[in-house]
Formats: sequence, C-alpha cells, structure tokens
Amino acid sequence: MLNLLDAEFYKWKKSKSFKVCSLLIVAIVIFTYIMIYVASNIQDGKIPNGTGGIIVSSDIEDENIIDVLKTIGILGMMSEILGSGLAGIFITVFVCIWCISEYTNGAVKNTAGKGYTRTKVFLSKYLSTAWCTVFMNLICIAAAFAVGIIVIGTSSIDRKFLPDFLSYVGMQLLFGIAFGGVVVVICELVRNMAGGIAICMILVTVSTTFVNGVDMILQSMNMKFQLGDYWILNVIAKCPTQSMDINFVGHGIFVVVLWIAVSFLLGMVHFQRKDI
Amino acid sequence: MNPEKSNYVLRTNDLTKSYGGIKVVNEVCMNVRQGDIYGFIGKNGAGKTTFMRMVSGLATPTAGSMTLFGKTELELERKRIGSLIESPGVYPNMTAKENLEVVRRVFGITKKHAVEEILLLVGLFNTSNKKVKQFSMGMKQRLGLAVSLMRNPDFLILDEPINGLDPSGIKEIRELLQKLNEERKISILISSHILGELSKVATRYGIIRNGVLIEEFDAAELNEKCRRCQKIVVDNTAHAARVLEDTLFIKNFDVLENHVIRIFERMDEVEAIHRALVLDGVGLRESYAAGQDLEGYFMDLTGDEK
Repeated sequence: MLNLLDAEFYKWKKSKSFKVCSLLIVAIVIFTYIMIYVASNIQDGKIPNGTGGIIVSSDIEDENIIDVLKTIGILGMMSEILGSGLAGIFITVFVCIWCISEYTNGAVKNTAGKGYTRTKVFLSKYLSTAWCTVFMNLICIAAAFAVGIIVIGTSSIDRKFLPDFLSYVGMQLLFGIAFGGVVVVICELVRNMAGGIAICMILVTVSTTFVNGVDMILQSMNMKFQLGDYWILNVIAKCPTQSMDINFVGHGIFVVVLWIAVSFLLGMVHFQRKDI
Repeated sequence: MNPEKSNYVLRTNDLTKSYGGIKVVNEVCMNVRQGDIYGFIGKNGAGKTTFMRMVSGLATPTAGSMTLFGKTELELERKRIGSLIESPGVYPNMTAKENLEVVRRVFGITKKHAVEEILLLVGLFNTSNKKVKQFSMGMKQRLGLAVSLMRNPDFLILDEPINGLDPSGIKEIRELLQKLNEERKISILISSHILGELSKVATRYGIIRNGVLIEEFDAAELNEKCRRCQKIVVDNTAHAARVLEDTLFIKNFDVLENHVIRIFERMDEVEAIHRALVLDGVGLRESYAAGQDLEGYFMDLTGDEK
C-alpha cells in the first residue's frame, strides 16, 4: 500500500496538469480582485462604465466597492471564491484528468492484477486525490489571502481573525476532500475523459441551484428535511466565515464523512467488479 | 505440493468469459509448462486478448478456474507475472525513465539502477528526455515490455508484443525473449499474428477459434503435422476416408476442414490413390504435394485459404 502511495506522489510531482490547474486557480483569484478594482475605478469615474464588460449599478454609487470589500473582509472574499465554485472547477478538471488518465493511458493495468487487491489500488488513488484537493484548496486560500491583503489591506484582520480563519479553512479542506471523492467515483463510473469532465462540470455549476430548487419545493410542502443541508457543494457555500458554531462543525463533519463513505464504497465496489 | 502441478505455470480449466450471453472465451483448458514459450494463435476476435486479460487479473472469468504456478491464490501468484496486454500502459507526458520509475515504486524495487538496466535491455537507454508521446509505436512497445520485466517475473504474458516493430526490432525482441527464456528461465505466453516469427521462438502452441481452444501441441508435434504430404480435396471426406482405409489400407492420414484430406504415406503411389477414389465414386477436385509451415497449418485448421 505504501508503495502504491509512493508511486502516486511521484506521479503528482511530475504532473503538468496539477501545475497548470493550480496556476489557473491563482489566476482566477487575481482576476476576481482585478474585476473589483476595475469596478472601483468605474465608480470613481476614472474609467467609463462597461469597460472590460464590467457594469457598475447606479444603486451603489454612494459607497465605493473597495469599501464594501473592506466590510466583507478577506474571509468574505475567500468564501465568495470557494463557495461560488470558481476554484472548484479547476480542481474538478484536475481530478478528472488525474483519475481517468489511468484508464485512457492503460496505466491501471500496471497495478491492478499485479499482486495488489483492487481495494488497495482504488484506495491509493482515492487518498492521493484527497491530498491533491487539499493542496489545491490551500493554494486557492493562500492566493485569496495574499491578494486580499494587497487589495483590501489589513483592516479586517483583528483578534478574531485567526480562529475564524483556521476554522473556516479547516472545514473547507474537509469539504474539498469529500467533494474530491465524489468526483473520483464519477470518474470511476464513467472512465471516459470527456464524459467525466462534462458530468462533473454540470455538477459543479448546476447542482447547488437544483438542490435549492428542490428545497423550495420541500418547504412549500412543509417538510423539514432540506436536501441542501446534505449536498456537499451547498454546505461549502453555507460555511460561515465568522463565529462558526459547534453545530455547524458537527453537521459539516457528518456530511464530509457521509460523502467520503458513499463515494469510496461505491467506487471501490465498481472497481472491484468491473473488468479493466 | 503435487510435483505434477508444479511443472505448470498456468493451467486453466474450462475458463469462460461471456459478454451479454455471448461466450467470447469458451471453456478453454490451456496448459503452459514451466520453461515454455507458448505461442497463442488465433484470428482477430478469436478470444486471445480476453483470455490473457483473465489470466492477468484484468477481467473476471464468467466460469471455470485457473491455477498459477500450481496454486489457486491468484492475487499472490500474480506478483510473479509480467504482462503486456493490448497497448502498453504508459504515461505519455513522462519519459521512459520516469515511467519505469513509477513502476519501480509501485513494486517497491530497491535495487539500484534497476530502471537503467531494464532500459538497456530493451534498447531504450538513449531516449533521455524524450517524452513517451514522441515515441514511435515500436519504442512504446519496447517500453511496455520493459514495464512487464521490471519485477523480474517468472511468467510473461505478451499480447502481440512485436506489433509496430520493424524487422530489426522484431529480431531483437525475438532474441530477447529467447534469452529471457533460456537464461532467466522465464516462461512466456505470447500471441502474435506474425506466425513465421512465432514459429521461430515458440516451443508449444495453442490455436483458438471463436473462443474455443481447438488444438494444443508442441513444436515437435507441429513439425510432424506440417511434414510432407499429399493433399487431396474431395466432395465427401467420409467416403474418401473409407476408401483409403478399406481399399488402399492407408492409415496415416488426417481429415481437415473444407473437404481436405492429408495423406502421409505412399505418396509415390499417387496415381493409384486417385484411381481407387474415382472408381469408388469419390469426387476428386484437387490433389497436390504439400509441406506446411505454421501459417499453412493454421489456415487449414481454421478453414481459411492461404
């Protein structure tokens, strides 16, 4: 098992797609702040409204966007970037490439049926994917923090910042592992690059809206159960950036464990039974 | 352990694989002895690759069983197998060395320079920083072979390993396989369409048609089967066989597909044979002297014209 993980980490270090996707995450973070900066200049009349496709609403003329940003704070921006799925898209693309290329290249033949049980082979891929999603989320968080310091400044960093930051980051890393597991199982079921990426893209972009719609229907039927409380992407978006209470932490960990268990078991059973 | 069982690296018993009710491998009983280079022959779609995938653990049999090195604990024994099934399983954005480094780590091989030694063995030592996606088909095949050899296996399963190789490459691989078999005592199960090449290395053969292993024989038996004979094509092989046995007292003959009979004795009395058959009402369509190679024998056995 350790040998399999050793090989996975070697491949990770050599992986061009990891480096490209990580750079794209940093780029999207920087781009988000640039858009806000341009909007701020539009508000101040330094550049015409509509520059670069950015239109500033007249309703917020009295307050500069940068000031609004300072109110939201660095953690708030981090929440917008992680909760909107922007970074999630590139993490998803990487995980799809990471998992499905084993089939498209045929390299899975070098591990499956070579003295390792199928469970160990799948587990090694699952764990290495978890590691990669943690790393990419950390890159996103680090970029959001660094650029946030430059654009917003340190005004939002008070004595409460560190515990809020650590609890938010900790939960997001766990959520990232769980969602990465969901992508792994989709890749295992599909085993096709185009299909896997397409399905995962739909999941990242549409599923939260769909779940919210289902919840509205459930609410109209006076049902207490809310699907959005259990779908991992909705929980990521709902994660509070300040004063995270113990109930959310407990619920969040439950959702993480639930999706890790479901994705791992489903993927493992499929990998064990399906021919390569 | 039963000494009889220990002489075989692979034994399959009615091994079967079905897809959607169709048996693509149908109750195959194959025996690969220790030290064999077993040539596995069959047309496209005959079931060779599916069979090899089952033995390699990539596909689960629908029915039947197998033993590896006389044992039924297949997962454990598969550590002693190296395989190259269909296309080589390599990462195109890595170099040959990096690909083998992955394999070295997977198998926990600690021997220094293990990667370099294998690259030298298969003739890829000078590829340096060239990525595999820039390799020719032949180079990829060599790399696939290198991957299968990394663990110093006792049994190699090679599915058309000389595909895409030029004549000198084919010769090199042939010599390599013979060297591995003779020096390292590696048993080899190899499939190929290039029957002429296969006949130069194989010590035993198995012919598969429509998922069924129709014949298994040693190289010595093949020489016997391919020996000089008089081939006659008749309208009714049963009638002709009766005439040969009862009238001419010829016992040494066999009946093949497509109304073909091969006669291995009294070939200097061809006219007498013809006369006896025609007088007894057998329709004689063709008659000619023949001596076969593996390709000819395979074509006769599977009913294809040469």
